[in-house]
Amino acid sequence: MSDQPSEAGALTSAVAQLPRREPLLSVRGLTAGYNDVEVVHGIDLDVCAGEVVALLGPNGAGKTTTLSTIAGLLPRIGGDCTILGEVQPLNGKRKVVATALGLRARGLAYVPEDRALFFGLTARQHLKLAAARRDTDAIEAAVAPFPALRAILDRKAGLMSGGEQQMLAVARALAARPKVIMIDELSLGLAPIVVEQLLPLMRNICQDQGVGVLLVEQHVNAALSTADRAYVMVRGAISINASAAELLADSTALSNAYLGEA
Amino acid sequence: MTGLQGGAVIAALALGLVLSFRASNVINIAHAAVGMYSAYAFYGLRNYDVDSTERGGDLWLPILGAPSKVHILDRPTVAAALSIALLLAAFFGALLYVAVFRPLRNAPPLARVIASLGIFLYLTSTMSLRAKEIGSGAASLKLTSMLPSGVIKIGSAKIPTSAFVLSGFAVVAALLLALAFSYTRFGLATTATAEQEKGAILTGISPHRIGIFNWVLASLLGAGAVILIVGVSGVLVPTETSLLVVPALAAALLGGLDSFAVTTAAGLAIGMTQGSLVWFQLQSKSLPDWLPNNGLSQAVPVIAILVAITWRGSKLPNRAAMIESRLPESPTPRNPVAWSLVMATAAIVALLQLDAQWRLAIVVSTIAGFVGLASVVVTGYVGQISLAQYAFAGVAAFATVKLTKQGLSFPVAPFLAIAITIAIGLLLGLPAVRVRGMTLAVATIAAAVAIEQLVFNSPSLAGLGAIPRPEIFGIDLGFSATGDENFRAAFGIFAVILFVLATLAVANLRRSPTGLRWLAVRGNERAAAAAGIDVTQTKLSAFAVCAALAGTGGALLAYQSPALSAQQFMVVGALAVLALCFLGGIASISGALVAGLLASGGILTQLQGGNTGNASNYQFAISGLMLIAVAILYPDGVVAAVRHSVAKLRRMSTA
Amino acid sequence: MNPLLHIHQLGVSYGGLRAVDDVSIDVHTDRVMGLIGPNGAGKTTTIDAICGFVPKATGIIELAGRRLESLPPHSRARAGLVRTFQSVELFDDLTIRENLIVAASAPRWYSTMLDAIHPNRRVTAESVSDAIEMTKINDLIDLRPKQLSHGQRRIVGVARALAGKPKLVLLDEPAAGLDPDETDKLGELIASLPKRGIGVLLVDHDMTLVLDVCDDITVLDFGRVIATGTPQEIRGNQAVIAAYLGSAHE
Repeated sequence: MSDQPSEAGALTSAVAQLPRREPLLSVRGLTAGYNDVEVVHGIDLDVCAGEVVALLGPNGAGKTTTLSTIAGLLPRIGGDCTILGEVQPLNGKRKVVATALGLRARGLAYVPEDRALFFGLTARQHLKLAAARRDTDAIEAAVAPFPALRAILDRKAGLMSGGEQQMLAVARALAARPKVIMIDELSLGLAPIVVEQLLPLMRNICQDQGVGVLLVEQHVNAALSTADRAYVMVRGAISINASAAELLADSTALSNAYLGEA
Repeated sequence: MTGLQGGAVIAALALGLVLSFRASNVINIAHAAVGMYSAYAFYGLRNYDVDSTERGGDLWLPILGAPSKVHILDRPTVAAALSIALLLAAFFGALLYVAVFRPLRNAPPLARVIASLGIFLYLTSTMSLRAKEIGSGAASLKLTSMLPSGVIKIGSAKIPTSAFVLSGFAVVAALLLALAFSYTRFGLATTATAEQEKGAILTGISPHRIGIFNWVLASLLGAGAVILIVGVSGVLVPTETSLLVVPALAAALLGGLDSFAVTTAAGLAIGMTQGSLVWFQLQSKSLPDWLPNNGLSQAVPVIAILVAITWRGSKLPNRAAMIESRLPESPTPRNPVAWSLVMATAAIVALLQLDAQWRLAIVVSTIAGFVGLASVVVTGYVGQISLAQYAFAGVAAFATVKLTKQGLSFPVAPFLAIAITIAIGLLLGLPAVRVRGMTLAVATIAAAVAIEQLVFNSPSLAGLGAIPRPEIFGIDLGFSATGDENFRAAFGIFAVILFVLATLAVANLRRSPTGLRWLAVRGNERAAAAAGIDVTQTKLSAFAVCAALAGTGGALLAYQSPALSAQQFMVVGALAVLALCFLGGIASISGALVAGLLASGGILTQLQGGNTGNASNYQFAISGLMLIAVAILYPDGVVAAVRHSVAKLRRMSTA
Repeated sequence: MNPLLHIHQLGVSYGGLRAVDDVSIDVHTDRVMGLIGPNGAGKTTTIDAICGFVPKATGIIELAGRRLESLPPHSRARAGLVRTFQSVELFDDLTIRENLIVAASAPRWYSTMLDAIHPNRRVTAESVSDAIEMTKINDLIDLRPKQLSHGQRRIVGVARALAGKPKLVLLDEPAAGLDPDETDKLGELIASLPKRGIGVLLVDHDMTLVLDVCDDITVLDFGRVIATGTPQEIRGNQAVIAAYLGSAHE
């Protein structure tokens, strides 16, 4: 497997055929990390409307750092970041809250790895808080993809199973009617069967609402069967940028990235 | 004050503590102090006789350097005065959050404790200055109750109507809060933010707006409660009123700093228990007469806090709680022997050459230095925020006097007294095994207040008078004499030598395996346990050393003072010492030296031209301000900041 | 032969969720046992439970024939069960040597008094110099953790564990964030431990390292053991591959 994106582009996939669009989310040379320790060393990444992009890679590669930096929850160290047409200034530590709130208001939703739910609040309360004040249909729209969640709207998040919590976390993101959703480890701690149900739902949301989805996922094959494209990150850098179909066809490269060279 | 009234105020204050904690992770020790100031504002404005031509309408200001009061309107009505007082309280709440506690939300717990102590010190000392201007007795503010004054009979018990109104105020407040927090968008957002700040941001909630609103609400509640209770009780004393926060802290901790209902119930219960204990003590003839009048009731908050700690604390912090526990760096002492010799020589030369006032100042500084060393060990080296150091000193001082009166002679009595203090120190160290950070600070404050009220105010310790002069190997180490000979150098030299030895011992401990274990526990309790360190034993050893050091200072004080009084060991003094240590570097011996030099009545006071009546209040107020500033600007401590900038300069000059 | 560490039916529950369920592992003195599994499989919780950091764990924990499950964490460490942390967690206020000394020195009740008078007593245990020699950190011992690179901190973490005279070390992701060269050296160190009579339980994500140095491997998923065997057996195990890459793997 080569890590040249140009060769990957030679392979045909549905997305590669689409005319070039303005990406919703575009990152160039992003460096990120905690305090002064750089974990992500200059990566490029795009997400367009209506596509599901998977960000794969072994543990510690810097995927979560990348996502929370794009979401504004971590101050970026360097590089350019254009989100929904707006170039993001390099804000320091002090402006983290304002930056993250501003990005969310513009239409960037983020479902973090730990889901960040409020265990003391019910699902309905989560959605009510997340929806805009006047947006009366928001709750309905948010649970539409998850019939299982609709049945337990008045249950507290702390009493839900892992899968139900994950649905709520995604529904909370949808309640704000975002244009881009970033989801970190959708399948963490979930049984494979639940993952197999959730991932296609993300595909539907993406297609129905024209939303761009950036997915960090450890169930590689499940992720690739849902995504259009995938980036593979190893040690803070993108090592593979290819279509999902191509990666599915050649699993050696992935195995090497994950389990080490045989 | 009946139990029910007291309980209502405790509950209302505790609700405010819960609100501000949920909004910003701060246990605001200065909560009742803000209420205390609001009460001064209100009763100052209303300070006119309706039948006379007095204008009233003076607003007392807690601003150092500004005029003490401004006249804002003639003969304000209750409504006008109350609006202004509450507006000020709301402003203070917002100010404290925006300027102090929001920036410190992720700072180490010590910085947050220091900041809230700074506010407490500043408000109580500036208002103590104002209280002196206002005067006492007939000159003091007219504290008239706004509540109905009748009595309601239930069976044989007579309960003042005001008690019902006050407890109604607390219960309604709790009910409204509970309702608002479960049903309104704002309430839900607060609950959400308290649980998960990241989640709140991802839900589109601004934690800052939520914070301001909650702090304003907390301040209003506290101010309202204090204004009402002051009218009923007729007592408004800056420090005493501000310490109403102690039982409120107990109630809030019992409520897990989270539940409005449990907090209110706990507050009412604490108040009523205190009330019935006071009543019981007045009625009962069988109680020993060494119990001070309201002593038993003062033990209630401590017991409540201990219960809360055992119930809710845990021995090792969990994975999530590990993140923010850093403390100022602790440099390894270099050449402690050389430094000690220089220090001792300077002090001894000064004692021999300078006049009596200077000799007194040096002794005062030395004793404060002991208390400072105690703080450095327990808080700086082991990271346990303790505010009981003056209580330890007091125990040793009173024990020395008492034992001497029982017939024990000089070296035996203080030794035994220090041993007793170490035992008490170990006892007070027990909560530290289960709680850490701000909660521990609260537990130690409560314990210190209880010891102060229950022990130091005991009638059996009052009026003991002076004890015989210490003498060893035929050398008279007594302090007092007549005329210019007073404040004898011999005692001063003795104290300085002891202090130097103590400093050396602390420096030795810091470099020895014991000190390494202390720093290991301070840095990371989980990793320490994994490395085979007994965390409990390590913390207790530090509390023992802390008690021994403070106890030595206390024993010296017993020989220095002509008569001991509870005032010498008030918890406020401990706040000030911790503050000064923080300025000088809480994790190094320099902190103790700074605490000694800057102590009220010590060397710095003498340099400024000696003790005047208000000096200690000014000093407390200024150290309060410095504390707030330092906590915000250098949450990791001043010395660390200085060291970093020195290192930076060095790098720049070599580059 | 009796195992050095015998874990039988270990269980941990968090609010109704079984984070670790019926996990049994035997580690022998002369072998390195690997513990692997996907994210969230319960590996760190298992180590926490073995070392006493989980208050309500159930099951049997036996080290060299001695039951440990009722002892607090520090006593388990003194008994010879020493761990490292995923996040390293060195004592930042102490030099590297002091980090090791603290782990090696067992205080007596009178130590505090003695230390106040005579701090420079000879306390450095042989285990400290042994640990320094084994991990080759001679150049670092007078520095502080903050002056070290990430990789060096990891090695010091292992050195501190060794200074505590362990019968068995539990290494929680010691290779996380190391470069290949550092990982190789760490692998050699780990592989050398059984020869010195120290058992190893190794948790890591670096499969090259795990497959290289481990004599046996236990695989966890959803808090349960899904496979145990030699590295060769594990590499070919379908359940393991499914756990890592998802069940859709063909």
